[in-house]
Amino acid sequence: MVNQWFTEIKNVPGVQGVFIASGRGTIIHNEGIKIKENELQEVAMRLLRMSAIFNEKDENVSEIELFWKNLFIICKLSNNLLLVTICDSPKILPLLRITLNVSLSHLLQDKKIMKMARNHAIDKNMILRKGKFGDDELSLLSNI
Amino acid sequence: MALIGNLKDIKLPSLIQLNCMEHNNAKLSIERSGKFGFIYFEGGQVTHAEFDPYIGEEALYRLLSLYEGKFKVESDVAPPVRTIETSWSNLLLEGMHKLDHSQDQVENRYYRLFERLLTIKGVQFVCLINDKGVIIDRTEQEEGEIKDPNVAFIMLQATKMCETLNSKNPDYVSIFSGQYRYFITYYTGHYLMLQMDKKVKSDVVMPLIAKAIGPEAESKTSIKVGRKQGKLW
Repeated sequence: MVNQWFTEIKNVPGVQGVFIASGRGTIIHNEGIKIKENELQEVAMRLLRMSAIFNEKDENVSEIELFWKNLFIICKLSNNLLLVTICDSPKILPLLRITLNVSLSHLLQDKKIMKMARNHAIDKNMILRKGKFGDDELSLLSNI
Repeated sequence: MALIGNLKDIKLPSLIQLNCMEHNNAKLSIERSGKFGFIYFEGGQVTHAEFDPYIGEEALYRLLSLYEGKFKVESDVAPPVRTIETSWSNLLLEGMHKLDHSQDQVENRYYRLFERLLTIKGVQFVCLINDKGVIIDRTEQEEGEIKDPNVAFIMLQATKMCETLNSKNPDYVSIFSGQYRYFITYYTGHYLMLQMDKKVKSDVVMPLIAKAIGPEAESKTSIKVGRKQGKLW
């Protein structure tokens, strides 16, 4: 059943791949992204840290998008889950957004996915307090 | 009935021109950052201006440098005193001349950029930040809105993410927090953050921002940390 929603996203023209990660950055499912799992985990962690900055100010981030000239990363965040999609066509963004919203709502109802997400859940406030940080990151975090 | 608005939408020279050409007897009040300014019109001329601590022509020239601020035009209000004798057209010419020169100064470097960005529908606040997280310049922030959400840290995460992916830095980062959409890009080696209305779509506003920024946006390499060339996947 879950695979249906990943296929749905993957079928949007221009989508190169999609992955889902827990609130701790653990990769729960990867569809079509051909990079090492630890690198994918690192990507998820960076996105979580971006979001955590807002949590410190009592704001919840529900979407992070990164744009290159011919490439986009769209990350949807909800209930300890990150749904990250990579696509290469700006024309499909409206369609992709709708597909992602629908797929995410179904993924959030999937018991297996949610169980994994719960098992890897972390207090959002701990994301910026635990883990490896460079001096540059620590310096900027001290501004909070 | 008073005419109320923001200088973001109607520029001050247009307001002056309108009131003078219509021969209005009116008082134009402007408020920005808790500072108040007043311009009085009488018989088709500007007769008095105040902008703390300035009075007369200098006050008017200072007011002309504002690219945003709430304004109100009230009809049939007489000036308390006459401090300006110069014709309105000469005042505007001199004011624009002074403005052009002042923009060469460091403190006004980003005036035009912010002015252009604020004309984009949905843009509420613009801020220029360096990679240490220090605010270089910003537009006026209205009450209740959120301050810099640590843009430098967000962009550092984006940079580190790209290092992992062996890719160049993204051109834009957009974050939706439910209340606002934050849009971050590079400008002359700094980070440019725009706080926008939540309804704004990134792909719609991106070309408008690129146009407002102009070729300066290309000057972003100085902020790169370990930039790598190559494909993402």
